[in-house]
Amino acid sequence: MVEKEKIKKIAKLARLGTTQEEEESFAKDFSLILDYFKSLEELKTSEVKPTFHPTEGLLGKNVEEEREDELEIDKAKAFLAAEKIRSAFPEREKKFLKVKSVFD
Amino acid sequence: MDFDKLTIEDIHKGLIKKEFSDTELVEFFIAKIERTDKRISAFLETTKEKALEKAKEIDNLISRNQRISVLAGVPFAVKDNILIEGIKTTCASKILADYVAPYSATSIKKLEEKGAVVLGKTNLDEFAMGSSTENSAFFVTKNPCDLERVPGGSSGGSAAAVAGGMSVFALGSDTGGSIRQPASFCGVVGLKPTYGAVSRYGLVAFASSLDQIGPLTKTTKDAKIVLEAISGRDADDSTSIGVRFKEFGLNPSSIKIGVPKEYFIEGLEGGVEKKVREAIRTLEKMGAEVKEISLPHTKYALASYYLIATAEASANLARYDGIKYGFSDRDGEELLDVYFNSRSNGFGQEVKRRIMIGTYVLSAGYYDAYYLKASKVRTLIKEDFNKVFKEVDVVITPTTSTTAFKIGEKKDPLSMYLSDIFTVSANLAGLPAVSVPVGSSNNLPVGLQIIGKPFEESTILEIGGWLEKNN
Repeated sequence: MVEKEKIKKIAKLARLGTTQEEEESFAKDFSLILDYFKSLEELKTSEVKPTFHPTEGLLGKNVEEEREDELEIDKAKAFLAAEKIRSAFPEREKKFLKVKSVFD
Repeated sequence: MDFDKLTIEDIHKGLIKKEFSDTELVEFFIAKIERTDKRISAFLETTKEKALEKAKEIDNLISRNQRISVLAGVPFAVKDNILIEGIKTTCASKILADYVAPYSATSIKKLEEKGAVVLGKTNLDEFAMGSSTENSAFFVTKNPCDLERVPGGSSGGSAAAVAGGMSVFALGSDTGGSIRQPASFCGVVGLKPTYGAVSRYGLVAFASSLDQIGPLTKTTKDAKIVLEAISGRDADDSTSIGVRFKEFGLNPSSIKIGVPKEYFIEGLEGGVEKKVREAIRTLEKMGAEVKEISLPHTKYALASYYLIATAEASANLARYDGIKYGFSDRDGEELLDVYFNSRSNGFGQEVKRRIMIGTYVLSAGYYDAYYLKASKVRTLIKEDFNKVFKEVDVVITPTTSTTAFKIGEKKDPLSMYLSDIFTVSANLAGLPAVSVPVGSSNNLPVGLQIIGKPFEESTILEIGGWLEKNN
């Protein structure tokens, strides 16, 4: 069983407030899920390189070259939806996003 | 006319021959949704007025005898984690309940440029996290084949919309099976393209190294038409790749099919195995060479997948902080309270659980044991496929181990995760995979999965098409 203290710590890191009830239920689920993850320990992987991106080594040479070309011609362009993004602010003042004060 | 039976090409022919107008077609689907969706609950929102406006435009083009694309006037539904400018994108979450998309996803722009008509947004498991569409913050979608059962998930609304005849096709997203598993449960075609084939710009990110947008359709031919429309290199998604897919025209006797023994295991429903084996025999009779193969790391795929997916999700979902957009709980004293309260009250249980697990496996002291380990196992799974693809052209498996389960049946999270056991490997390896219907078991649809080499979507769709003719 994962201790409740650990659950509280993780919740804090994840910026999630949890109720007592949630902590208990997460502790139970965590044990089950982490045990399942432990099955990976059966595999020896000290010599294996990790894959972080599925197309690593999957692309043909031409595709990679094409990409570099595109990066070279990468130019800044105007983003036209700025006001639409501002209009989604929960609180705003003119063009600015308003947040609770950080300093006393 | 039964417009709901028509394929994309049928509609195109009907429109240009002026057998019916696009307005009639769109009105039919709107009426069908109004009538049918009371029972199914596939749609979160419909875009009736916009759709009728668009239909009028298409009718104008046709009346002036202008050339139109094969997708012009074709109505489609969109999973509600894909952005359409000016329309709400909720991800079936309270945290985005009122969020209006400021721009459209590239896949949507491409379909709209071709004249396809959006009918509405479909239900999903919150943030695409789930396999049954029961995890929506709003309501549960039902399987049109049996209303007591789930449509699968997370693209359950999209699958139900197509299966229920409420849309010609739909877009979904697939992180670990979220297009293929609901397609299988609802008896439609569902394609997860090769990672990078379709731009993810405008898809709400769940697990960025696994997510792909793809079509749910009635036929494999339709899936190819939609794929060709939405794929391609996009400057707004640096992982996208421009590729031209091949034309159909394979000879069955030139095809080598691998059937991995690790997918025919205990827990595979008898009726599912029977239908899948029959379909494989059909392909063999057509001349294809079938051989048993081994993908030895299959049993580790699900653990590796859930580790990577939750880790990436915990990072991606950090952006929902109640500050910039979405649900914002401002009751607390200080800034930190806004984060905690908005996230706690905005996210549902499963999303929180995954953020927590992801945060845990990435936290100091656990990174090597969990995330790094899973990423190394991902390499092994990829290498399994690289090896078998030296000997065979495609790999065929059941899409799911069972047919659609009952609403409320799967109670603990792990048993729900296990329903993705046959689909996650294709995401880990970045490979294209399609689920095609191959009959039914106890009156519920059975799906067969065809996994192909990178960018060989045409091959898996054509082989899937051979099974349609023989169904």
